Amino acid sequence: MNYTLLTPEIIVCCTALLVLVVDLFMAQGEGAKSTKSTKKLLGWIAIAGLVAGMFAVYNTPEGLAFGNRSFVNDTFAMYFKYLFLGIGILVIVSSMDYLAERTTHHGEYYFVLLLVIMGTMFMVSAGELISLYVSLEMLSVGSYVLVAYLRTRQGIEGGIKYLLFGAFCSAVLLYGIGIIYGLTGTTEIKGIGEFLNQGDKGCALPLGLAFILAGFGFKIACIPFHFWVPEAYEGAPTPITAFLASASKVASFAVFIRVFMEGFIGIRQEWTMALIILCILTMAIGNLSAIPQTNIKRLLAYSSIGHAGYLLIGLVIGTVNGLSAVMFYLLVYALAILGIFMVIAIISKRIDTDEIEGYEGMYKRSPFLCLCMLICLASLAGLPPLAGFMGKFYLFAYAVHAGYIYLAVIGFIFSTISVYYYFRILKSMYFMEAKDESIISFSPLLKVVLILIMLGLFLIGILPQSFISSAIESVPKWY
Amino acid sequence: MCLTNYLILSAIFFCLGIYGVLVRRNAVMILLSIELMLNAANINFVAFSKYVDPNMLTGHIFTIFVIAIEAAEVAVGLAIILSAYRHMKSINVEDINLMKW
Repeated sequence: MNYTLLTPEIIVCCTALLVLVVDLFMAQGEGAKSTKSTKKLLGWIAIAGLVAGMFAVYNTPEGLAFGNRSFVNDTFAMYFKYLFLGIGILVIVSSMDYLAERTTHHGEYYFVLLLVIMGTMFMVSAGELISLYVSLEMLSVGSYVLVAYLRTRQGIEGGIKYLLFGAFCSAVLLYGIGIIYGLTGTTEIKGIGEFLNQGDKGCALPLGLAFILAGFGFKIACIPFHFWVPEAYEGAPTPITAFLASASKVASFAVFIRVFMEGFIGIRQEWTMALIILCILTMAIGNLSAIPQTNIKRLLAYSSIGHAGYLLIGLVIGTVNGLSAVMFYLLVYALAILGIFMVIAIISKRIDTDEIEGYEGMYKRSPFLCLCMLICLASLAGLPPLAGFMGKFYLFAYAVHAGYIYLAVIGFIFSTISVYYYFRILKSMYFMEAKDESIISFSPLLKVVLILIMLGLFLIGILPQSFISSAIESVPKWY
Repeated sequence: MCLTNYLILSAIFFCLGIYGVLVRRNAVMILLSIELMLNAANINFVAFSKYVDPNMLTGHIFTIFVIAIEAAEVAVGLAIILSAYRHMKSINVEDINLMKW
Protein backbone atom coordinates (compact mmCIF):
# COMPACT_ATOMS: atom_id res chain seq x y z
CA MET A 1 0.00 0.00 0.00
CA ASN A 2 1.44 3.31 -1.03
CA TYR A 3 -1.16 5.99 -0.60
CA THR A 4 1.25 8.83 -1.42
CA LEU A 5 0.78 7.95 -5.10
CA LEU A 6 -2.86 8.91 -4.73
CA THR A 7 -2.12 12.41 -3.41
CA PRO A 8 -3.36 14.34 -6.48
CA GLU A 9 -6.64 12.42 -6.54
CA ILE A 10 -7.09 12.80 -2.77
CA ILE A 11 -6.52 16.55 -3.05
CA VAL A 12 -9.11 16.89 -5.81
CA CYS A 13 -11.60 14.77 -3.87
CA CYS A 14 -11.10 16.79 -0.66
CA THR A 15 -11.51 20.03 -2.62
CA ALA A 16 -14.80 18.71 -4.00
CA LEU A 17 -16.07 17.96 -0.50
CA LEU A 18 -14.81 21.31 0.77
CA VAL A 19 -16.71 23.13 -1.96
CA LEU A 20 -19.89 21.32 -0.98
CA VAL A 21 -19.50 22.13 2.72
CA VAL A 22 -18.54 25.78 2.10
CA ASP A 23 -21.55 26.15 -0.19
CA LEU A 24 -23.81 24.76 2.53
CA PHE A 25 -22.67 27.25 5.18
CA MET A 26 -22.55 30.20 2.81
CA ALA A 27 -26.09 29.58 1.68
CA GLN A 28 -27.36 29.35 5.24
CA GLY A 29 -25.79 32.39 6.81
CA GLU A 30 -25.77 35.13 4.21
CA GLY A 31 -28.50 37.07 2.47
CA ALA A 32 -28.95 37.46 -1.23
CA LYS A 33 -26.61 40.44 -1.40
CA SER A 34 -23.36 38.66 -0.79
CA THR A 35 -24.19 35.52 -2.75
CA LYS A 36 -22.46 36.66 -5.91
CA SER A 37 -19.05 36.95 -4.25
CA THR A 38 -19.55 33.71 -2.32
CA LYS A 39 -20.33 31.89 -5.56
CA LYS A 40 -17.07 33.23 -6.98
CA LEU A 41 -15.33 31.99 -3.83
CA LEU A 42 -16.48 28.43 -4.59
CA GLY A 43 -14.90 28.67 -8.02
CA TRP A 44 -11.65 29.95 -6.54
CA ILE A 45 -11.54 27.11 -4.01
CA ALA A 46 -11.97 24.64 -6.85
CA ILE A 47 -9.18 26.30 -8.86
CA ALA A 48 -6.88 26.31 -5.82
CA GLY A 49 -7.53 22.61 -5.34
CA LEU A 50 -6.69 21.85 -8.97
CA VAL A 51 -3.46 23.91 -8.81
CA ALA A 52 -2.50 22.05 -5.63
CA GLY A 53 -3.28 18.83 -7.50
CA MET A 54 -0.83 19.85 -10.24
CA PHE A 55 1.95 20.35 -7.71
CA ALA A 56 1.06 17.01 -6.18
CA VAL A 57 1.33 15.29 -9.58
CA TYR A 58 4.78 16.88 -9.96
CA ASN A 59 5.89 15.50 -6.59
CA THR A 60 4.38 12.05 -6.93
CA PRO A 61 6.81 9.22 -7.72
CA GLU A 62 6.04 6.51 -10.25
CA GLY A 63 4.82 3.18 -9.02
CA LEU A 64 1.91 0.92 -8.13
CA ALA A 65 -0.34 2.11 -5.31
CA PHE A 66 -1.91 -1.16 -4.18
CA GLY A 67 0.64 -3.80 -5.12
CA ASN A 68 -1.49 -4.93 -8.08
CA ARG A 69 -2.02 -2.86 -11.19
CA SER A 70 -5.34 -1.28 -10.24
CA PHE A 71 -3.63 2.08 -9.80
CA VAL A 72 -0.52 2.64 -11.91
CA ASN A 73 1.23 5.99 -11.71
CA ASP A 74 3.56 6.06 -14.72
CA THR A 75 4.76 8.91 -16.93
CA PHE A 76 1.88 8.19 -19.30
CA ALA A 77 -0.69 8.76 -16.56
CA MET A 78 1.13 11.82 -15.23
CA TYR A 79 1.21 13.52 -18.64
CA PHE A 80 -2.57 13.19 -18.84
CA LYS A 81 -3.14 14.22 -15.23
CA TYR A 82 -1.43 17.55 -15.89
CA LEU A 83 -3.66 17.94 -18.90
CA PHE A 84 -6.88 17.18 -16.98
CA LEU A 85 -6.03 19.52 -14.12
CA GLY A 86 -5.23 22.28 -16.62
CA ILE A 87 -8.47 21.66 -18.51
CA GLY A 88 -10.33 21.66 -15.18
CA ILE A 89 -8.93 25.08 -14.28
CA LEU A 90 -9.94 26.57 -17.62
CA VAL A 91 -13.42 25.03 -17.45
CA ILE A 92 -13.96 26.42 -13.95
CA VAL A 93 -12.74 29.89 -14.96
CA SER A 94 -15.24 29.79 -17.81
CA SER A 95 -18.02 28.40 -15.55
CA MET A 96 -17.62 31.15 -12.94
CA ASP A 97 -18.64 33.67 -15.55
CA TYR A 98 -21.17 31.51 -17.37
CA LEU A 99 -23.14 30.25 -14.37
CA ALA A 100 -23.41 33.60 -12.59
CA GLU A 101 -26.84 34.56 -13.89
CA ARG A 102 -28.10 31.19 -15.00
CA THR A 103 -28.41 29.27 -11.75
CA THR A 104 -28.16 29.72 -8.01
CA HIS A 105 -26.85 26.22 -7.35
CA HIS A 106 -23.12 26.58 -7.79
CA GLY A 107 -21.76 24.32 -5.05
CA GLU A 108 -23.13 21.09 -6.50
CA TYR A 109 -21.93 22.05 -9.97
CA TYR A 110 -18.30 22.46 -8.86
CA PHE A 111 -18.63 19.37 -6.67
CA VAL A 112 -19.72 17.14 -9.53
CA LEU A 113 -17.21 18.75 -11.90
CA LEU A 114 -14.31 18.10 -9.51
CA LEU A 115 -15.41 14.51 -8.99
CA VAL A 116 -15.58 14.00 -12.75
CA ILE A 117 -12.05 15.40 -13.06
CA MET A 118 -11.00 12.95 -10.36
CA GLY A 119 -12.65 10.19 -12.40
CA THR A 120 -10.58 11.10 -15.46
CA MET A 121 -7.42 11.05 -13.33
CA PHE A 122 -8.23 7.57 -12.03
CA MET A 123 -9.07 6.49 -15.56
CA VAL A 124 -5.62 7.19 -16.97
CA SER A 125 -4.04 5.44 -14.00
CA ALA A 126 -6.15 2.30 -14.30
CA GLY A 127 -4.00 -0.66 -15.29
CA GLU A 128 -6.78 -3.09 -14.56
CA LEU A 129 -10.25 -3.50 -16.00
CA ILE A 130 -12.21 -3.20 -12.73
CA SER A 131 -10.72 0.16 -11.77
CA LEU A 132 -10.96 1.21 -15.41
CA TYR A 133 -14.67 0.47 -15.54
CA VAL A 134 -15.38 2.15 -12.20
CA SER A 135 -13.50 5.33 -13.12
CA LEU A 136 -15.06 5.38 -16.59
CA GLU A 137 -18.50 5.32 -14.99
CA MET A 138 -17.42 8.03 -12.55
CA LEU A 139 -16.74 10.20 -15.57
CA SER A 140 -19.91 9.18 -17.41
CA VAL A 141 -22.45 9.45 -14.59
CA GLY A 142 -21.06 12.82 -13.53
CA SER A 143 -21.20 14.03 -17.13
CA TYR A 144 -24.88 13.05 -17.46
CA VAL A 145 -25.65 15.21 -14.42
CA LEU A 146 -23.62 18.15 -15.71
CA VAL A 147 -25.14 18.07 -19.20
CA ALA A 148 -28.65 18.37 -17.75
CA TYR A 149 -27.55 20.65 -14.93
CA LEU A 150 -29.32 23.87 -15.94
CA ARG A 151 -32.60 22.01 -16.57
CA THR A 152 -33.28 23.84 -19.77
CA ARG A 153 -35.32 21.84 -22.21
CA GLN A 154 -32.38 21.29 -24.53
CA GLY A 155 -30.08 20.42 -21.66
CA ILE A 156 -32.44 17.74 -20.40
CA GLU A 157 -32.91 16.38 -23.89
CA GLY A 158 -29.16 16.20 -24.40
CA GLY A 159 -28.82 14.62 -20.97
CA ILE A 160 -31.40 11.89 -21.69
CA LYS A 161 -29.84 11.00 -25.04
CA TYR A 162 -26.36 10.98 -23.55
CA LEU A 163 -27.56 8.88 -20.62
CA LEU A 164 -29.38 6.25 -22.68
CA PHE A 165 -26.59 5.89 -25.25
CA GLY A 166 -23.94 5.99 -22.54
CA ALA A 167 -25.57 3.35 -20.38
CA PHE A 168 -26.19 1.14 -23.42
CA CYS A 169 -22.59 1.38 -24.58
CA SER A 170 -21.21 0.82 -21.11
CA ALA A 171 -23.30 -2.36 -20.89
CA VAL A 172 -21.84 -3.48 -24.22
CA LEU A 173 -18.33 -2.60 -23.01
CA LEU A 174 -18.91 -4.56 -19.82
CA TYR A 175 -20.06 -7.62 -21.76
CA GLY A 176 -16.91 -7.36 -23.85
CA ILE A 177 -14.75 -7.09 -20.75
CA GLY A 178 -16.54 -10.16 -19.40
CA ILE A 179 -15.67 -12.16 -22.52
CA ILE A 180 -12.01 -11.08 -22.36
CA TYR A 181 -11.90 -11.98 -18.67
CA GLY A 182 -13.35 -15.38 -19.42
CA LEU A 183 -10.77 -16.03 -22.14
CA THR A 184 -7.72 -14.85 -20.23
CA GLY A 185 -8.69 -15.42 -16.61
CA THR A 186 -7.41 -12.05 -15.51
CA THR A 187 -8.56 -8.45 -15.51
CA GLU A 188 -5.08 -6.94 -15.40
CA ILE A 189 -4.35 -5.32 -18.76
CA LYS A 190 -0.72 -6.40 -18.59
CA GLY A 191 -1.75 -9.97 -17.78
CA ILE A 192 -4.19 -9.98 -20.69
CA GLY A 193 -1.37 -8.80 -22.96
CA GLU A 194 0.95 -11.56 -21.76
CA PHE A 195 -1.76 -14.20 -22.16
CA LEU A 196 -2.66 -13.12 -25.70
CA ASN A 197 1.02 -12.99 -26.70
CA GLN A 198 1.30 -16.73 -26.05
CA GLY A 199 -0.87 -17.33 -29.08
CA ASP A 200 -3.55 -19.27 -27.22
CA LYS A 201 -6.71 -17.48 -28.37
CA GLY A 202 -10.33 -18.49 -28.05
CA CYS A 203 -12.85 -18.18 -30.85
CA ALA A 204 -14.84 -15.61 -28.86
CA LEU A 205 -11.95 -13.14 -28.95
CA PRO A 206 -13.20 -11.11 -31.96
CA LEU A 207 -16.60 -10.75 -30.27
CA GLY A 208 -15.04 -9.43 -27.07
CA LEU A 209 -12.79 -7.10 -29.04
CA ALA A 210 -15.72 -5.76 -31.05
CA PHE A 211 -17.73 -5.05 -27.89
CA ILE A 212 -14.81 -3.29 -26.22
CA LEU A 213 -14.19 -1.29 -29.38
CA ALA A 214 -17.87 -0.26 -29.39
CA GLY A 215 -17.67 0.84 -25.75
CA PHE A 216 -14.57 2.96 -26.30
CA GLY A 217 -15.85 4.15 -29.66
CA PHE A 218 -18.80 5.66 -27.84
CA LYS A 219 -16.57 7.49 -25.39
CA ILE A 220 -14.20 8.91 -28.00
CA ALA A 221 -17.22 9.67 -30.26
CA CYS A 222 -16.19 7.84 -33.40
CA ILE A 223 -18.63 7.26 -36.16
CA PRO A 224 -21.23 4.54 -35.69
CA PHE A 225 -21.45 5.50 -31.98
CA HIS A 226 -21.63 9.27 -32.33
CA PHE A 227 -25.37 9.99 -32.12
CA TRP A 228 -25.18 11.46 -28.66
CA VAL A 229 -22.43 13.96 -29.50
CA PRO A 230 -24.34 16.78 -31.25
CA GLU A 231 -27.27 16.59 -28.82
CA ALA A 232 -25.18 16.51 -25.65
CA TYR A 233 -22.81 19.21 -26.91
CA GLU A 234 -25.64 21.49 -27.95
CA GLY A 235 -27.75 21.00 -24.85
CA ALA A 236 -25.02 21.15 -22.22
CA PRO A 237 -23.92 24.39 -20.52
CA THR A 238 -21.09 25.70 -22.72
CA PRO A 239 -18.26 25.14 -20.19
CA ILE A 240 -19.44 21.54 -19.86
CA THR A 241 -19.45 21.20 -23.63
CA ALA A 242 -15.83 22.33 -23.49
CA PHE A 243 -15.15 19.72 -20.83
CA LEU A 244 -16.82 16.92 -22.83
CA ALA A 245 -14.96 17.92 -25.98
CA SER A 246 -11.59 18.07 -24.21
CA ALA A 247 -11.18 16.12 -20.97
CA SER A 248 -13.71 13.40 -21.67
CA LYS A 249 -12.27 12.74 -25.11
CA VAL A 250 -8.66 12.92 -23.91
CA ALA A 251 -9.33 10.49 -21.06
CA SER A 252 -11.10 8.06 -23.36
CA PHE A 253 -8.21 8.14 -25.82
CA ALA A 254 -5.75 7.55 -22.98
CA VAL A 255 -7.68 4.49 -21.85
CA PHE A 256 -8.08 3.33 -25.43
CA ILE A 257 -4.30 3.54 -25.88
CA ARG A 258 -3.60 1.68 -22.65
CA VAL A 259 -6.03 -1.16 -23.31
CA PHE A 260 -5.24 -1.67 -26.99
CA MET A 261 -1.49 -1.04 -26.90
CA GLU A 262 -0.74 -2.84 -23.65
CA GLY A 263 -3.44 -5.50 -23.65
CA PHE A 264 -4.28 -6.27 -27.28
CA ILE A 265 -1.01 -5.43 -29.01
CA GLY A 266 -0.22 -9.13 -29.54
CA ILE A 267 -3.33 -9.56 -31.70
CA ARG A 268 -2.91 -6.38 -33.73
CA GLN A 269 -3.92 -7.98 -37.01
CA GLU A 270 -7.37 -8.77 -35.54
CA TRP A 271 -8.31 -5.13 -34.91
CA THR A 272 -6.14 -2.90 -37.11
CA MET A 273 -8.46 -3.29 -40.10
CA ALA A 274 -11.54 -2.43 -38.02
CA LEU A 275 -9.76 0.60 -36.64
CA ILE A 276 -8.76 1.80 -40.11
CA ILE A 277 -12.38 1.57 -41.29
CA LEU A 278 -13.63 3.42 -38.20
CA CYS A 279 -10.93 6.02 -38.67
CA ILE A 280 -11.81 6.79 -42.31
CA LEU A 281 -15.57 6.80 -41.61
CA THR A 282 -15.11 9.09 -38.64
CA MET A 283 -13.01 11.59 -40.56
CA ALA A 284 -15.41 11.55 -43.52
CA ILE A 285 -18.81 11.66 -41.82
CA GLY A 286 -17.69 13.95 -38.99
CA ASN A 287 -16.26 16.59 -41.27
CA LEU A 288 -18.96 16.35 -43.95
CA SER A 289 -21.85 16.58 -41.47
CA ALA A 290 -20.30 19.69 -39.95
CA ILE A 291 -20.70 21.62 -43.21
CA PRO A 292 -24.50 22.23 -43.19
CA GLN A 293 -24.76 23.00 -39.43
CA THR A 294 -26.13 26.38 -38.39
CA ASN A 295 -25.62 26.05 -34.64
CA ILE A 296 -22.04 26.75 -33.61
CA LYS A 297 -21.99 24.14 -30.82
CA ARG A 298 -23.39 21.48 -33.15
CA LEU A 299 -20.85 22.41 -35.80
CA LEU A 300 -18.02 22.05 -33.30
CA ALA A 301 -19.52 18.77 -32.08
CA TYR A 302 -19.27 17.30 -35.58
CA SER A 303 -15.80 18.78 -36.02
CA SER A 304 -14.74 17.13 -32.75
CA ILE A 305 -15.95 13.83 -34.21
CA GLY A 306 -13.71 14.55 -37.19
CA HIS A 307 -10.77 15.18 -34.85
CA ALA A 308 -11.37 11.78 -33.22
CA GLY A 309 -10.84 10.39 -36.71
CA TYR A 310 -7.42 12.06 -37.08
CA LEU A 311 -6.45 10.80 -33.64
CA LEU A 312 -7.38 7.23 -34.59
CA ILE A 313 -4.68 7.40 -37.29
CA GLY A 314 -2.11 7.51 -34.49
CA LEU A 315 -3.62 4.42 -32.90
CA VAL A 316 -3.54 2.60 -36.23
CA ILE A 317 0.19 3.41 -36.52
CA GLY A 318 0.67 2.12 -32.99
CA THR A 319 4.39 2.84 -32.67
CA VAL A 320 5.95 4.97 -29.94
CA ASN A 321 6.11 7.83 -32.44
CA GLY A 322 2.48 7.39 -33.44
CA LEU A 323 1.31 7.38 -29.84
CA SER A 324 3.40 10.41 -28.96
CA ALA A 325 1.82 12.21 -31.92
CA VAL A 326 -1.63 11.31 -30.52
CA MET A 327 -0.70 12.62 -27.08
CA PHE A 328 0.71 15.82 -28.54
CA TYR A 329 -2.36 16.29 -30.74
CA LEU A 330 -4.67 15.80 -27.74
CA LEU A 331 -2.88 18.60 -25.89
CA VAL A 332 -3.08 20.96 -28.86
CA TYR A 333 -6.68 20.07 -29.65
CA ALA A 334 -7.81 20.49 -26.03
CA LEU A 335 -6.19 23.92 -25.78
CA ALA A 336 -7.81 25.21 -28.98
CA ILE A 337 -11.28 23.78 -28.28
CA LEU A 338 -11.25 25.21 -24.74
CA GLY A 339 -10.40 28.64 -26.12
CA ILE A 340 -13.25 28.44 -28.61
CA PHE A 341 -15.84 27.35 -26.08
CA MET A 342 -14.71 30.04 -23.62
CA VAL A 343 -15.35 32.64 -26.31
CA ILE A 344 -18.73 31.06 -27.11
CA ALA A 345 -19.64 31.08 -23.41
CA ILE A 346 -18.81 34.79 -23.13
CA ILE A 347 -20.70 35.72 -26.30
CA SER A 348 -23.76 33.55 -25.55
CA LYS A 349 -24.23 35.52 -22.35
CA ARG A 350 -24.93 38.61 -24.44
CA ILE A 351 -26.62 37.37 -27.59
CA ASP A 352 -28.51 34.51 -25.95
CA THR A 353 -28.20 32.16 -28.90
CA ASP A 354 -25.70 29.70 -30.27
CA GLU A 355 -26.75 30.11 -33.90
CA ILE A 356 -23.96 31.27 -36.21
CA GLU A 357 -26.26 34.05 -37.48
CA GLY A 358 -26.05 35.63 -34.05
CA TYR A 359 -22.32 36.09 -34.52
CA GLU A 360 -22.74 38.44 -37.45
CA GLY A 361 -20.70 41.59 -37.10
CA MET A 362 -19.05 40.40 -33.92
CA TYR A 363 -15.86 42.08 -35.09
CA LYS A 364 -17.32 45.47 -34.21
CA ARG A 365 -18.65 44.32 -30.87
CA SER A 366 -15.49 42.72 -29.55
CA PRO A 367 -12.36 42.59 -31.72
CA PHE A 368 -10.47 40.73 -29.00
CA LEU A 369 -12.92 37.82 -28.83
CA CYS A 370 -12.91 37.61 -32.62
CA LEU A 371 -9.13 37.47 -32.70
CA CYS A 372 -9.17 34.72 -30.10
CA MET A 373 -11.77 32.77 -32.09
CA LEU A 374 -9.72 33.25 -35.26
CA ILE A 375 -6.53 31.89 -33.72
CA CYS A 376 -8.18 28.93 -32.02
CA LEU A 377 -10.17 27.97 -35.14
CA ALA A 378 -7.08 28.33 -37.33
CA SER A 379 -5.23 26.05 -34.92
CA LEU A 380 -8.02 23.46 -35.07
CA ALA A 381 -8.00 23.68 -38.86
CA GLY A 382 -4.24 23.09 -38.80
CA LEU A 383 -2.87 26.28 -40.29
CA PRO A 384 0.80 27.14 -39.70
CA PRO A 385 2.40 28.55 -37.57
CA LEU A 386 -0.15 27.46 -34.94
CA ALA A 387 -0.02 24.42 -32.70
CA GLY A 388 -2.71 22.56 -34.63
CA PHE A 389 -0.48 22.51 -37.70
CA MET A 390 2.34 20.79 -35.81
CA GLY A 391 -0.14 18.32 -34.31
CA LYS A 392 -1.44 17.31 -37.73
CA PHE A 393 2.06 17.42 -39.21
CA TYR A 394 3.44 14.87 -36.73
CA LEU A 395 0.37 12.65 -37.03
CA PHE A 396 0.39 12.56 -40.84
CA ALA A 397 4.19 12.38 -41.10
CA TYR A 398 4.36 9.32 -38.85
CA ALA A 399 1.46 7.78 -40.77
CA VAL A 400 3.43 8.14 -44.02
CA HIS A 401 6.53 6.83 -42.28
CA ALA A 402 4.65 3.74 -41.06
CA GLY A 403 3.30 3.03 -44.56
CA TYR A 404 -0.25 4.31 -44.13
CA ILE A 405 0.08 6.92 -46.87
CA TYR A 406 -3.60 6.69 -47.82
CA LEU A 407 -4.66 7.54 -44.25
CA ALA A 408 -2.46 10.62 -44.28
CA VAL A 409 -3.88 11.67 -47.66
CA ILE A 410 -7.49 11.17 -46.53
CA GLY A 411 -6.75 13.03 -43.30
CA PHE A 412 -5.22 15.89 -45.23
CA ILE A 413 -8.21 16.13 -47.59
CA PHE A 414 -10.69 16.26 -44.75
CA SER A 415 -8.70 18.76 -42.76
CA THR A 416 -8.78 20.97 -45.85
CA ILE A 417 -12.55 20.58 -45.92
CA SER A 418 -12.65 21.53 -42.24
CA VAL A 419 -11.05 24.88 -43.09
CA TYR A 420 -14.20 25.68 -45.08
CA TYR A 421 -16.67 25.35 -42.22
CA TYR A 422 -14.39 26.91 -39.63
CA PHE A 423 -14.05 29.94 -41.85
CA ARG A 424 -17.81 30.13 -42.27
CA ILE A 425 -17.93 31.10 -38.58
CA LEU A 426 -15.16 33.64 -39.11
CA LYS A 427 -16.88 35.00 -42.20
CA SER A 428 -20.02 35.82 -40.27
CA MET A 429 -17.94 37.36 -37.48
CA TYR A 430 -15.73 39.53 -39.67
CA PHE A 431 -17.55 40.29 -42.90
CA MET A 432 -21.25 40.52 -42.04
CA GLU A 433 -23.08 43.59 -40.84
CA ALA A 434 -23.99 43.70 -37.17
CA LYS A 435 -27.63 44.14 -36.17
CA ASP A 436 -26.67 45.27 -32.71
CA GLU A 437 -23.39 47.09 -32.19
CA SER A 438 -23.17 47.20 -28.41
CA ILE A 439 -19.75 46.33 -27.03
CA ILE A 440 -19.37 42.94 -25.34
CA SER A 441 -17.50 43.35 -22.07
CA PHE A 442 -16.15 40.56 -19.86
CA SER A 443 -13.99 40.07 -16.81
CA PRO A 444 -10.22 40.75 -16.97
CA LEU A 445 -9.58 37.23 -15.65
CA LEU A 446 -11.12 35.73 -18.79
CA LYS A 447 -9.09 38.11 -20.92
CA VAL A 448 -5.83 37.01 -19.27
CA VAL A 449 -6.74 33.33 -19.67
CA LEU A 450 -7.66 33.79 -23.34
CA ILE A 451 -4.37 35.65 -23.98
CA LEU A 452 -2.50 32.77 -22.33
CA ILE A 453 -4.33 30.24 -24.53
CA MET A 454 -3.42 32.19 -27.67
CA LEU A 455 0.20 32.53 -26.58
CA GLY A 456 0.24 28.82 -25.82
CA LEU A 457 -1.02 27.96 -29.30
CA PHE A 458 1.68 30.13 -30.88
CA LEU A 459 4.40 28.83 -28.57
CA ILE A 460 3.58 25.16 -29.19
CA GLY A 461 3.33 25.87 -32.93
CA ILE A 462 6.69 27.58 -33.16
CA LEU A 463 8.66 25.48 -30.67
CA PRO A 464 6.97 22.06 -30.69
CA GLN A 465 10.17 20.16 -30.01
CA SER A 466 10.11 20.21 -26.20
CA PHE A 467 6.41 19.30 -26.12
CA ILE A 468 6.71 16.40 -28.54
CA SER A 469 9.79 15.08 -26.75
CA SER A 470 7.95 15.18 -23.42
CA ALA A 471 5.15 13.24 -25.11
CA ILE A 472 7.66 10.68 -26.43
CA GLU A 473 9.16 10.28 -22.95
CA SER A 474 5.67 9.74 -21.54
CA VAL A 475 4.87 6.82 -23.84
CA PRO A 476 5.52 3.74 -21.72
CA LYS A 477 7.75 1.01 -23.02
CA TRP A 478 5.01 -1.53 -23.53
CA TYR A 479 6.67 -3.24 -26.43
CA MET B 1 -24.07 -27.54 -14.71
CA CYS B 2 -21.37 -26.62 -17.15
CA LEU B 3 -20.07 -23.18 -18.08
CA THR B 4 -21.89 -23.19 -21.43
CA ASN B 5 -25.32 -23.10 -19.79
CA TYR B 6 -24.49 -19.94 -17.92
CA LEU B 7 -23.07 -18.32 -21.04
CA ILE B 8 -26.20 -19.18 -23.04
CA LEU B 9 -28.41 -17.77 -20.30
CA SER B 10 -26.38 -14.58 -20.22
CA ALA B 11 -26.39 -14.26 -24.02
CA ILE B 12 -30.21 -14.63 -24.02
CA PHE B 13 -30.55 -11.90 -21.39
CA PHE B 14 -28.16 -9.66 -23.29
CA CYS B 15 -30.10 -10.05 -26.53
CA LEU B 16 -33.41 -9.46 -24.71
CA GLY B 17 -31.89 -6.28 -23.31
CA ILE B 18 -30.80 -5.06 -26.74
CA TYR B 19 -34.24 -5.94 -28.12
CA GLY B 20 -35.85 -3.91 -25.36
CA VAL B 21 -33.62 -0.90 -25.99
CA LEU B 22 -34.42 -0.95 -29.68
CA VAL B 23 -38.16 -1.58 -29.42
CA ARG B 24 -39.32 0.25 -26.30
CA ARG B 25 -40.11 3.95 -26.57
CA ASN B 26 -40.58 4.67 -22.88
CA ALA B 27 -37.36 6.05 -21.36
CA VAL B 28 -37.81 4.13 -18.10
CA MET B 29 -38.29 0.87 -19.98
CA ILE B 30 -35.14 1.55 -22.00
CA LEU B 31 -33.25 2.09 -18.76
CA LEU B 32 -34.66 -1.20 -17.45
CA SER B 33 -33.56 -3.02 -20.60
CA ILE B 34 -30.06 -1.61 -20.15
CA GLU B 35 -30.11 -3.00 -16.60
CA LEU B 36 -30.93 -6.38 -18.10
CA MET B 37 -27.86 -6.11 -20.33
CA LEU B 38 -25.66 -5.18 -17.38
CA ASN B 39 -26.98 -8.13 -15.41
CA ALA B 40 -26.27 -10.41 -18.34
CA ALA B 41 -22.67 -9.25 -18.12
CA ASN B 42 -22.77 -9.91 -14.37
CA ILE B 43 -23.87 -13.52 -14.93
CA ASN B 44 -20.89 -13.87 -17.26
CA PHE B 45 -18.50 -12.52 -14.65
CA VAL B 46 -19.75 -14.79 -11.88
CA ALA B 47 -19.72 -17.87 -14.13
CA PHE B 48 -16.21 -17.13 -15.43
CA SER B 49 -15.04 -16.46 -11.91
CA LYS B 50 -16.20 -19.91 -10.82
CA TYR B 51 -14.97 -21.89 -13.81
CA VAL B 52 -11.94 -20.03 -15.17
CA ASP B 53 -10.46 -18.25 -12.18
CA PRO B 54 -11.72 -20.07 -9.05
CA ASN B 55 -8.98 -18.93 -6.66
CA MET B 56 -9.03 -15.18 -7.18
CA LEU B 57 -12.74 -14.22 -7.09
CA THR B 58 -11.99 -11.34 -9.48
CA GLY B 59 -15.29 -11.82 -11.29
CA HIS B 60 -17.31 -11.70 -8.08
CA ILE B 61 -15.61 -8.47 -7.05
CA PHE B 62 -16.26 -7.00 -10.48
CA THR B 63 -19.94 -7.93 -10.17
CA ILE B 64 -20.27 -6.14 -6.83
CA PHE B 65 -18.75 -3.00 -8.33
CA VAL B 66 -21.04 -3.22 -11.33
CA ILE B 67 -24.15 -3.55 -9.14
CA ALA B 68 -23.17 -0.43 -7.17
CA ILE B 69 -22.46 1.56 -10.32
CA GLU B 70 -25.73 0.39 -11.87
CA ALA B 71 -27.58 1.80 -8.89
CA ALA B 72 -25.83 5.16 -9.24
CA GLU B 73 -26.53 5.26 -12.96
CA VAL B 74 -30.21 4.48 -12.46
CA ALA B 75 -30.51 7.14 -9.76
CA VAL B 76 -29.09 9.79 -12.08
CA GLY B 77 -31.09 8.43 -15.01
CA LEU B 78 -34.41 8.54 -13.19
CA ALA B 79 -33.67 12.05 -11.93
CA ILE B 80 -33.06 13.27 -15.48
CA ILE B 81 -36.15 11.44 -16.78
CA LEU B 82 -38.22 13.00 -13.99
CA SER B 83 -37.12 16.51 -14.89
CA ALA B 84 -37.80 15.71 -18.54
CA TYR B 85 -41.33 14.72 -17.56
CA ARG B 86 -41.79 18.07 -15.80
CA HIS B 87 -40.72 19.92 -18.93
CA MET B 88 -42.38 17.91 -21.65
CA LYS B 89 -45.15 15.98 -19.88
CA SER B 90 -43.91 12.80 -21.53
CA ILE B 91 -41.14 10.27 -21.17
CA ASN B 92 -41.59 8.81 -24.62
CA VAL B 93 -38.25 9.19 -26.36
CA GLU B 94 -39.98 10.06 -29.60
CA ASP B 95 -41.49 13.15 -27.98
CA ILE B 96 -38.08 14.23 -26.70
CA ASN B 97 -36.89 15.50 -30.04
CA LEU B 98 -36.61 19.26 -29.95
CA MET B 99 -33.19 18.91 -31.52
CA LYS B 100 -32.89 16.75 -34.60
CA TRP B 101 -31.29 13.37 -34.04
